[in-house]
Amino acid sequence: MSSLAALGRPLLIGGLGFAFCATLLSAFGAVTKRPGGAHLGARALYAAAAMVAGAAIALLIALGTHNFAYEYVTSYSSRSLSGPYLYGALWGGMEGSLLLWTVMLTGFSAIAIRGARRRDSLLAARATSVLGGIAVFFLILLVWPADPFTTLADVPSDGRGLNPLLQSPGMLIHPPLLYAGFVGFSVPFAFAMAALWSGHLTDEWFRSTRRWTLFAWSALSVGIVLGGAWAYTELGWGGYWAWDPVENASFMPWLTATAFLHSVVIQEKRRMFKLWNVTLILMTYGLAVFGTFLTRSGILSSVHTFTEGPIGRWFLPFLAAMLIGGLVMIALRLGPLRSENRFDSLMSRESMFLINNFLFVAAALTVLWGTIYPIVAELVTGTRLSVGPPFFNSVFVPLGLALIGLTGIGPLISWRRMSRGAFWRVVRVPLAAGVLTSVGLAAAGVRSAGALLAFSLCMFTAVAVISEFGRAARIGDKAATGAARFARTVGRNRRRYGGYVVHLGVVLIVIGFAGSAFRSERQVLLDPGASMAIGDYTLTYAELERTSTPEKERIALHLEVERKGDSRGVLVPQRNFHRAQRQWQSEVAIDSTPIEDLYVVVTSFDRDGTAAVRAFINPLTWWIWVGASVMVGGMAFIFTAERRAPVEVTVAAPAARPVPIRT
Amino acid sequence: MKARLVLVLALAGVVLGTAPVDAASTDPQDVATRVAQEIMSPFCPGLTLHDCPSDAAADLRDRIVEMASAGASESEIIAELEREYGPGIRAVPESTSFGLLAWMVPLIFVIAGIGVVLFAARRLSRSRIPEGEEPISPAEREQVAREVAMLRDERRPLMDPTKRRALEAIMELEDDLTTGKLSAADLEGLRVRYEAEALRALKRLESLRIPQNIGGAEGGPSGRALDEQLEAEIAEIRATMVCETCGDVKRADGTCPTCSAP
Repeated sequence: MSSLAALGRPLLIGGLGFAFCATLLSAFGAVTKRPGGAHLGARALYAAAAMVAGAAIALLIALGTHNFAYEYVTSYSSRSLSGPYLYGALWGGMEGSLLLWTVMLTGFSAIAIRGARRRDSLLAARATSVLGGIAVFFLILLVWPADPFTTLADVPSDGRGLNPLLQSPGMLIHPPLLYAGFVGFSVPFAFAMAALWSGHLTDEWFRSTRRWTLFAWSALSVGIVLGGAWAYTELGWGGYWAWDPVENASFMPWLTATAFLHSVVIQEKRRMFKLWNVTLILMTYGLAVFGTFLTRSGILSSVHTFTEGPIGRWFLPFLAAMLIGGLVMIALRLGPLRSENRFDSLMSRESMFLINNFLFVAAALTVLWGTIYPIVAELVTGTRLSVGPPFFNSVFVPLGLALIGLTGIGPLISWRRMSRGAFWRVVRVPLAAGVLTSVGLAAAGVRSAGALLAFSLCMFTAVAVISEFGRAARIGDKAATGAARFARTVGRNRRRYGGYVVHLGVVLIVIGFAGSAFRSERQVLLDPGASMAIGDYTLTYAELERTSTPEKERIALHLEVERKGDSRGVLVPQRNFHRAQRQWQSEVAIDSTPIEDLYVVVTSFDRDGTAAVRAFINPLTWWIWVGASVMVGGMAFIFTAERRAPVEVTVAAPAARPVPIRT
Repeated sequence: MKARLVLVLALAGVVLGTAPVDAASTDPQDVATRVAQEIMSPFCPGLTLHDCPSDAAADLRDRIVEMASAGASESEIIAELEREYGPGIRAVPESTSFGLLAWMVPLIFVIAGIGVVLFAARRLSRSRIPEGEEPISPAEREQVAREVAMLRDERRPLMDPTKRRALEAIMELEDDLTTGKLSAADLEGLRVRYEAEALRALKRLESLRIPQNIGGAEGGPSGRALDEQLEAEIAEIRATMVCETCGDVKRADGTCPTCSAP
């Protein structure tokens, strides 16, 4: 069984060969309009996908059989590692992550191309060529500088084990989801490039990849939130987002992708923003690749050092080729990319989408600027300067608040045109709710201007979105009941109402963020039997518990928690010594309620049992995870609409329409 | 007028409500927390001292609490740490010389963005389609209304996109009137435009229905045009194969297997 792992490298080389063939054959088939070439190209892509998947299975076998002849297995696993974490080590290191990335890339490409060939085989052939080209790049990395199958001359008896921080359930899901998000965007990117290449710039490229865009965006969203949840429960600093370069690397493409998701609606409905949409998808994919470059190159200091490696510099030429190629193609197709329509009025949903796009892109560029600023500063001044969370918060929060307000106003405004009177009619109730929230909270003693503004905007938006659901019950057959009309309207417009549910989730998340304005913390040296106070809580040192296993030594502090005199049970923060890595790590204990989290971490123990305790009160953090769940519900609802998206038949299209190739 | 007054009062409420700002606490622990959030950790790459989990960072945080207890202000503590660890320790660039650029660039993005949005909005909103181009007869209006009703009842699963888009626009305009987002006057102005668009699409589809000279002879459609004609025909024929009541595919004799409608 263990010897099967030896197939890994030959499979990768074979995958590279097939990906190369896929690129050339599909391009040949598309350009010469020869169905045979396109057909063979697609087959080569499927073969590449199968071989890369085979290589990943080979690495999993090597991990599962503790085959320490492989450097990767030695570096990221050990005999004491078992169950899901043993196989999760596949993405515990740089080479394995890259392999997982390529498995997804070729797998997604194969699935997307298989579906798209039925709709428009020449567009699919061009997209195959682009996707094959991207796969060639990643496979070159895997075959040369980041080979996960490098063998060791001296085979050790045990490995160094997986970083203990990565041994948490969140880490099993968070990286694959982020990769799925990043990689998922290669599908709409490839189809956009294919459409530019063919010059046939109808809506087909984003229609045939709509599910992929939505899937990639959903995966990235959930991946980012899970990353935050992991940081919150594992890192022990009481927060969930640190504006670290790697976090920013996932956030920037998310921002532009969110802009894209909104702005394709305009292209679909009004045949406008064609140029802008291809630019946005180029930007999104470019930022995803740029983020990978930033984090793999070690050019910026980040907590995610476990992903660093020698491959960073390989990304620059790839990124440059992609961006220059994309921009040249866009420049060559400016004619067909012109809008076919005009705004009926500035006071319209279309304008709201325009502002939405401006805010998202400004936010993405701002995050990009803050992320690369240390490099720019060092290049220009020779001194290393830093930009940390306070900088990002002060520049990002105003944009974020504007976006939240827009989330409320946007859906209230009708497409095409709205008179001032009508606007006032629909906006007054949400506005009153927002104002009352602000006044009420101020009367209750809340004094943070930012938080008051955030809470009122959240209330405004929540009421606005809920009122849209109310209006759904008024549309349709007058004879039917309100409930029937509601079900019918919502059922027929799942993307719109699913989107509103996502918006409600975002509002809840922002409420959670705003709660951090009231965060407090205390750091105390606690002797056995002593108590500490934070907020309404009293924490009493009850006992110390020591246990030992072959993997780790565990010291657990039992803290009795009282809130305003009522017992809330015992919290058990821990310090664990991981023997394989010879590393101490804190395990956080959290008492979470919708109002606030009591978050306790022990940073060290003295010999006499004295514990250095860091306690935080994190108000409203609970709502972030609830909001994320609501977002997932909304996304799932939108997916049910995508299954029943109507097939469109283009009649008498003015531009050249490719003749379907029968295979 | 009354509404305006409410709005003004409401805005005043927001301003009054948000005006008082909490004075920063001088408790040494709170001062230390704020300082730790303003400086990067010398021990963990990319994290603030506040967020850094290393033991050395915990020691430095303790030292900052001592400095604050001894009466040092936030800026004094940060200045002291900058002397020790260099300017890179500041998590927020100072607003002087090159540090100013960090703050200016986002502002430039926002201002440039607003410029682009205004430019795009002005350019895109110039109306290309003349208002009320061709007068629409009551019969034509009726025809469009029938098509809209069919779309509303989901009786047309397959449809030419131009026609569908125009019909959907009319449907949305009617819905916006129902929900109070559109005034009757606005509706009329916009409706005429989309009715004209829908009619153009309908007429084009009708003209495609009678192929005059199949095979590419003089005046007749050839090659691609023929393909498009056929596709259009198929689309329209498939639409007639679907039951108008329940949306199921009809039997060969024209009756519906589900609801037995003729």
